[in-house]
Amino acid sequence: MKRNSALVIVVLFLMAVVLTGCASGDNQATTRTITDMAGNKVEIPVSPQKIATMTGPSYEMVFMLGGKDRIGLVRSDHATGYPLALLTNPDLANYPTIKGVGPQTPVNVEQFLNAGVDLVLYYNNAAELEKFKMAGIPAVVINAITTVPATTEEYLEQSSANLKLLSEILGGEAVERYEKWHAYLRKNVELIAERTKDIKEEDRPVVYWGNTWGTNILSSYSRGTRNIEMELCGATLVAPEEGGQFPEINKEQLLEWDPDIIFVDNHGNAPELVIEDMYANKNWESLSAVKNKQLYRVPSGVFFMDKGSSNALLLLWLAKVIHPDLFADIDMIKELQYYYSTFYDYDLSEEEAQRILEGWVDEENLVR
Amino acid sequence: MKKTDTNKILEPTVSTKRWLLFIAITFSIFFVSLFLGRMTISPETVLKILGKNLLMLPIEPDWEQSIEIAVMRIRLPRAIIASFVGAGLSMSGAAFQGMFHNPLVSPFILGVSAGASVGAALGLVMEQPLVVVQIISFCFGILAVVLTYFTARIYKTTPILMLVLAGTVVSAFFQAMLSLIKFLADTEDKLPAITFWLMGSMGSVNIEDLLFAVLPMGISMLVLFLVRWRLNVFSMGEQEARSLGLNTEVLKILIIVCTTLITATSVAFCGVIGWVGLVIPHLCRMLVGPDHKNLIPATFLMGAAYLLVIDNLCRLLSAAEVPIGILTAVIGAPIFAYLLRKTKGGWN
Repeated sequence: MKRNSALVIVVLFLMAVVLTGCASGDNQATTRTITDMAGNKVEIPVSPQKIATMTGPSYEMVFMLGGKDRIGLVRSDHATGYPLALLTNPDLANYPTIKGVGPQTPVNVEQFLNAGVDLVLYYNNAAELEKFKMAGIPAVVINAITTVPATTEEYLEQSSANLKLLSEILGGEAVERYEKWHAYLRKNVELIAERTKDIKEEDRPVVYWGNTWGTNILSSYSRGTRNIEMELCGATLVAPEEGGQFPEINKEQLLEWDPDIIFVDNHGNAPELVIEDMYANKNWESLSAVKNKQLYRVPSGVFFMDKGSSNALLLLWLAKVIHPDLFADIDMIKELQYYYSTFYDYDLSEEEAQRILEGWVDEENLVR
Repeated sequence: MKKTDTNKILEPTVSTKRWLLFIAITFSIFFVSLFLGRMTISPETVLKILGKNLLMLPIEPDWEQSIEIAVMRIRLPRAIIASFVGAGLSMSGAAFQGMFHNPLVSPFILGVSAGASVGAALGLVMEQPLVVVQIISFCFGILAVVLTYFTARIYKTTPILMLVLAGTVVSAFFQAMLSLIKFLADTEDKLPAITFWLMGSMGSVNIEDLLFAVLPMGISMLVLFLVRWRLNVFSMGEQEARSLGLNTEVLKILIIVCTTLITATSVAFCGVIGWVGLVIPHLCRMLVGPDHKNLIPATFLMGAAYLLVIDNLCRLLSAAEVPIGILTAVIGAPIFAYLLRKTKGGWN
């Protein structure tokens, strides 16, 4: 028996080497090989039933793809930090949870073995991936985007790559759900592009995206991550070019850029405090965004809206905030209700939709 | 050539002309710093803004409000804090090197930076506002030095060797606590906050809190300046000094209190900035000789000038803030290596 499975692995390995790109999963086998977001070839069960959703929005994505009964381990902050995650899926309260998982934290593999996990969705962290490998748990890297999309087509491809991979892993119904979602994303992108394509350079508001860690408006994203989205929504992004993924800019630079609109990210832990401080702090009183009260916290539903599948919704929200007149016909409440009923199978009340826009999280429980 | 060098080091007094030159260098660097930044502001406008706000000249503002904010609320406080921290750390370094009778002692030898780092990390993990983080950090810095002092105290005295060892022990303990906090901290938002803080920045000081940073440092520096003559007694060795009837313990406590106030304040406001307290005293020994009477004021001036230059680089190099701790080491280490080669390790 052992010999046989070893043989299968060898055969699969040879196939992967010889027929790079052409090799597709063997239907007869209990495992198949996929290529994850980091380009690693991983052998996974044909139909994983106990998935550990460890990266940022991976729970939300698996849930959206209809995999709620195939989750074997969730992060405690994902289970309790987002009230809507629990409302849309009451079973979430009963899943086994794990605390303290992050991109750089060492994992305790025994906890995963104990939960009987058959697939882990994990960060691109070689040392930790090696541990899963040694324990015989397939680990798939999610959210490892490294290139900057230059065109809308590239953007569409890149922003749905995680979900596409997950739908292939889950198979069956998930693939249909993905196609439906992808069509929705494409529709939104095309609608926005059509309305913003003729906006002249001088009519594009300058947008700054801050608060990626701590309670700190000066912590930002490097340009690549948000540039094309802002261009699509008819704005110009200001962001530092250097300093890694989450650089800190200096105060004078923000004055120099003088953004018209500032988006305050949830990635830092208390966006509402940051906004309050910006409005009260004398250093910032000359900023156009502060003068015109144009500071916006990124909404939050089943997960932060700028991550996972809900990024499709975020684009509409961004476009409406940046050009309210151009998108006057878009009713975000109705749009949210449509999205929740279509993709999360949940009837969202108007009041709940309003809370999403205000950023609905349970901060106490967001701690990993 | 060799001859003149040795003569210069042993030169007992430094001419007034030389002092004036040092003062001129430091103040002109300070002044020039106000004209540099990511915002393009014409020198004329900067002068007008300074004239209006500092000299109360009746100048009608013909500039935008953001420009005045950049000069008065961002550049000026930053230049002030950078010069105080640079001066303070260099003076503390010189005082400690004199007191410990060892040229390799940094102002953080008694554990102040490790303690203050733990305090700041705790504050950041508990999501406290910046002011609270700074207060906790300051208190932990003081706590670490108090622990060191009482660990080293035997029979009402604190032998130098005991102080160094106790400082190492306390530092190691607080370093481990820091690692523990970093290990437990949320890797996506709190860990980067701690990491950035530890690498140091002059940018987080608001003009409103400036006094809290400048006052303890200023007073401590003044005290160090006043007792600078007495620092020379340590050069004959502590036991010899005691046998001559000098009470070194009181002087030692005074120096420890002053340097601790300076370093704890600087770490609390600007993070851990290494190398300044090591490089500048050595550079100054080359310029004015090892006599603390001259060394202390020289480190004050040169330290301020050095950190101002480094901080200007941090502000100017890119839109992203370059942590100052990186640049002080990158620039400080080669300078230190050069000085070591040049003086062949002999300072006295």
